[in-house]
Amino acid sequence: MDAIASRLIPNDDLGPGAKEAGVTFFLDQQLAGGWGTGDHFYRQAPFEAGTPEQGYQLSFTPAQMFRLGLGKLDEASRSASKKGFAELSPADQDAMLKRMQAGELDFSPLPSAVFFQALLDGTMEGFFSDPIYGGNSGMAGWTLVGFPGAYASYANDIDRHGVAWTRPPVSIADAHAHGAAGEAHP
Amino acid sequence: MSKTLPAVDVAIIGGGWTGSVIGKELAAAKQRVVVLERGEPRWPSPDFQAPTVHDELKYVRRHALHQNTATETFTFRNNPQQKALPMRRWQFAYPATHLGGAGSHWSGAYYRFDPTDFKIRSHYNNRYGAKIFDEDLTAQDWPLSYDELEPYFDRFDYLIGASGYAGNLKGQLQPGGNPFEPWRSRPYPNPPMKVPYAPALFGEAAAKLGYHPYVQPSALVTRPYINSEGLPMSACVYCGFCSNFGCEHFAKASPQVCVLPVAMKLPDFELRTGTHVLRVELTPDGKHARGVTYVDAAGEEVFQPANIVVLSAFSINNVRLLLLSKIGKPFDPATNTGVVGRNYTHQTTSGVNLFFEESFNINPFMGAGAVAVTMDDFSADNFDHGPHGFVGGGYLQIQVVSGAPISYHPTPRGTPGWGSEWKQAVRRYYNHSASITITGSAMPTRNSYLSLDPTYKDAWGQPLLRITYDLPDNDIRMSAFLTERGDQIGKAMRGVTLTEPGPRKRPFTATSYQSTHLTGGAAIGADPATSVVNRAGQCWDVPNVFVTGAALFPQNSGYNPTGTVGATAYWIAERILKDYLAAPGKLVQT
Amino acid sequence: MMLRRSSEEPVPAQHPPAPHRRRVWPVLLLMFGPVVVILAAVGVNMGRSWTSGDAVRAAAVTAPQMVDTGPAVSAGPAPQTSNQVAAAGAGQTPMPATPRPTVTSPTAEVVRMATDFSPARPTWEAALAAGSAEDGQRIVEVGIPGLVACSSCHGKAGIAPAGSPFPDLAGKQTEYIAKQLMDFRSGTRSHAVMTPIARSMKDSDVGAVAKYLGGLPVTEAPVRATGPARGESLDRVGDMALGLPACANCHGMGGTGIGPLLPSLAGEPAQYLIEQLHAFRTGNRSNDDGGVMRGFAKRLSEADIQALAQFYAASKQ
Repeated sequence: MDAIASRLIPNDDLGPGAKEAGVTFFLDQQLAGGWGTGDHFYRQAPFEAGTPEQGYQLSFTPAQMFRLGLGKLDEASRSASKKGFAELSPADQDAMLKRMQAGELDFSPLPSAVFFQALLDGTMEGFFSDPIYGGNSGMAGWTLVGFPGAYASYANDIDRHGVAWTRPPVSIADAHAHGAAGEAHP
Repeated sequence: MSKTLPAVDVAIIGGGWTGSVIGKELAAAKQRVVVLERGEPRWPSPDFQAPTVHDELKYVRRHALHQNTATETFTFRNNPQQKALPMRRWQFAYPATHLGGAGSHWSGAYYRFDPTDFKIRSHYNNRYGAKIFDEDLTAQDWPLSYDELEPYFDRFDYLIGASGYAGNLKGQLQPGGNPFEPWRSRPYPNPPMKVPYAPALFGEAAAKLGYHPYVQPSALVTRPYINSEGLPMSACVYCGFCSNFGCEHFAKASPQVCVLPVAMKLPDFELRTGTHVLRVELTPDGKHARGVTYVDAAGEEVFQPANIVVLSAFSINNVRLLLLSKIGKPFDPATNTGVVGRNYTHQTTSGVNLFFEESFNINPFMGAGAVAVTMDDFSADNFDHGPHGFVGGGYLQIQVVSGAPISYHPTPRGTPGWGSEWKQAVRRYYNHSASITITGSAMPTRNSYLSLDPTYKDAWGQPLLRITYDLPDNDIRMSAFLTERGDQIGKAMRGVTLTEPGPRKRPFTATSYQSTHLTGGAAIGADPATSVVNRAGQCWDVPNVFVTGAALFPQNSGYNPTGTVGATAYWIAERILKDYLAAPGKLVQT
Repeated sequence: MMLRRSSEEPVPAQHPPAPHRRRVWPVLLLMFGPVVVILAAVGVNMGRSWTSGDAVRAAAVTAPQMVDTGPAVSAGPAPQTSNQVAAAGAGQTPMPATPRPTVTSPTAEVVRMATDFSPARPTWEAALAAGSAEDGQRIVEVGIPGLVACSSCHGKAGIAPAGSPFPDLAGKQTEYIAKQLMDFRSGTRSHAVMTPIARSMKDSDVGAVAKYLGGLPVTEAPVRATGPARGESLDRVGDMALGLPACANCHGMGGTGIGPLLPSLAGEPAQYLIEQLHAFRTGNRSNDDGGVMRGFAKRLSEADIQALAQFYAASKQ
């Protein structure tokens, strides 16, 4: 997963990439939790293939999908080049990811394009969510784009058209560090 | 089998806007009311306080305030020839759960429907001739006019502390307001919202092109306000965590802020959370409701007897309740008979993505659900439809809602979705991008309807609601027209280097978000052959059951629904108190 | 729109400075000399700024809204440098046929029109464009002719001596300091000592002082607050029954402050915080954007104000 993350959002002169931002750790946490086990996913049968407009119709929970998909990706890599995905060169990794994205790899019963989208969605979440979830480490994602984070109020700034926002980003954890921990409510 | 509770006068299903407003009105008139909310209590303090509420992953991606698809979702298909499949996760809309319902996590864009929206068929027939309507459209008049509802709009305005600047006071156009605004009897209770950079640039360009841009009215108050129930609200501080979030500032109008604290002090009002209503129970002849059956938090079935039942769940969930309870004849498009489920629509949205020079800091994170400069030059029948051959219209605006980056990291078309090139583009454009959003009306056809799914069930074993819907040609033509106008404005804006128009296309997809304005299925009307409820919101078939909310809309306007939902809630409450209770059990003659 | 004077609170008497302070005499002179002048000036200002502090009440809002009879505000003007307040006009509307009680717009200076898209260009922005931090250091530490050293009340390095009633300036952001000085100048904030000082400052002085003070380190790290439970509860959670959001939402947990215009509260003297909440409650201080502080202050009981003040004051050992 580190290898995938490093290709999806690479470390470069613009700043840390998804791997450095802790996306793998983030995904581990998410997949182990309620979402990963499908607590927000309608899992009743029958599962049938639908039209593109009908959306995701597979039976895999996120955790199942990642387990299956990552295994299949490594298998596909080994059968093509005798090396696991993580051992390929970055260029070869990119090529493989592109094929996965286009649905050209056979991960049956999991369409490779569906898994690719889940990887990309998960990487974006891990890169851009609040650091309390383990990703966006050092606020790498927020710093890249200039998102101030869990900030309270822009009432004084919103109509100062075009004002440059130069404050460092703020995480929920920063706010907690300074005072008593707030109550968590779902 | 199920436990039976002592009877109440009124059982209200749903603790959202209409349930809270109607519940309070009836309890204040000494009706014993119980509001049955399936979710848990959620109060601004302590539940929505910062910093924990400023969490995009939790509220947007993990659906903290949304109905949980795991236990109940919709099935969807584009037309009756397809097999409907479940929406296994939300993408196209965000029905809510927990106290306040969608009224808690909404965006606060606040409008009244246009007078022509209430008389759409007769108005367009008169002005353009009947042929302006494509044959497949089943749009129809309301049995109520804007003028009749105006006092109720006014009442809801002052309940929520609507922010805006009236363009038409009692028929007198007001400089500085929206010249297309329908007349209102009083000004907005609070002044308009602040205007960020991108909306100002939009307004500047639109005005140059001869249009009439104005600051969008909103349900986010702009200064300390004591509402019509005596409850305090505070000014919006534009934190950018609005849509999908509860508001920590007591600024976004919600049932919990605007009415429930007062309702809960009334001796005749009771709020019961954790109560999942299965159905309305009828007498053996099916003509009278006896009460409702619900599953409580312990999983026990409970029967709550009541003299009156009010359906105040999320719009189309009300239609599902009617179908599950066997109230009214379900609509069947094959035979074109029945009424329940007929005339379902969504909202015909589209947009134009804009990309700016680097010197223009757009600051998308400074925003709120309804912060916008908008224009009604192409809303309703404010322009000549003759040359264009479609009915309906919509508003064009730039609204700055949120910069939360999981969901918002725009790049121009053709940019790869990942890799170094993506990273470069996202950095370049995050703070130099905006969208013109276009929100248009939605016309029903015979094949846009709701029904019970034959295959899939919810966690309680009841059939899911099935949505059958695609956009009619009329709406495709309208969307193309509006989007082109939006593109024209985008190209005239200072700082814009690239516009990407994206008109709405067929087939309608359940995989992209298009507002939570799901409407229809329990149309309000004058004729039981084409409507489910009468002018008072009363079921033709079961006179002691009232339906509220957007399920009543025979078609959807280009405007957001909540203003009209609130006005009709006050109207229905008054009909119950003044007309129904004078002759209980009978259809009201109003 | 008719102006309504709020029930005027007298400007709070200034606490006598501690004897060990430097430059006592300019302060005394400033205090007692122009006090009468100040009172008069503040009184006029209070009248001029619609700051009754009462939240607008739904029942009272029956007056017709304002109609611009001044220069036409064209829809969608190019973003201008004019202050948004000035741009919206101040025309009076003709009374309708049915006489109605007029409404005060207590917290918005003027009701903006929906066709006004002009940006806010607050006066403190212009002030910050002038002045250097070096000049600011001089003003703060030793003063310049006509301008007493800020440190004489606010302490060395912007940290007021323990036990003094004056707020710390270190830890306040540059923009915040500039804004407060301009607000003292305009009268949306008023104080017997600060008002004449601010009025004697040039824009470049304001900019200089703000830049210097905003760059000062806060030498003590905020510690977990151990004040009254009620204060902590209002800070963290607010109060549903009173319609109060948590103070921490805007001021940071424990009042540590987040952002340029939302001041830190941690470690401020309790008496200072009490005075500010009183000033918001009466409208004597009306420089809070959107009037939010004035709205909250009206719902805080005296006991709540004390609890909050003690809580934040205790945030530093």
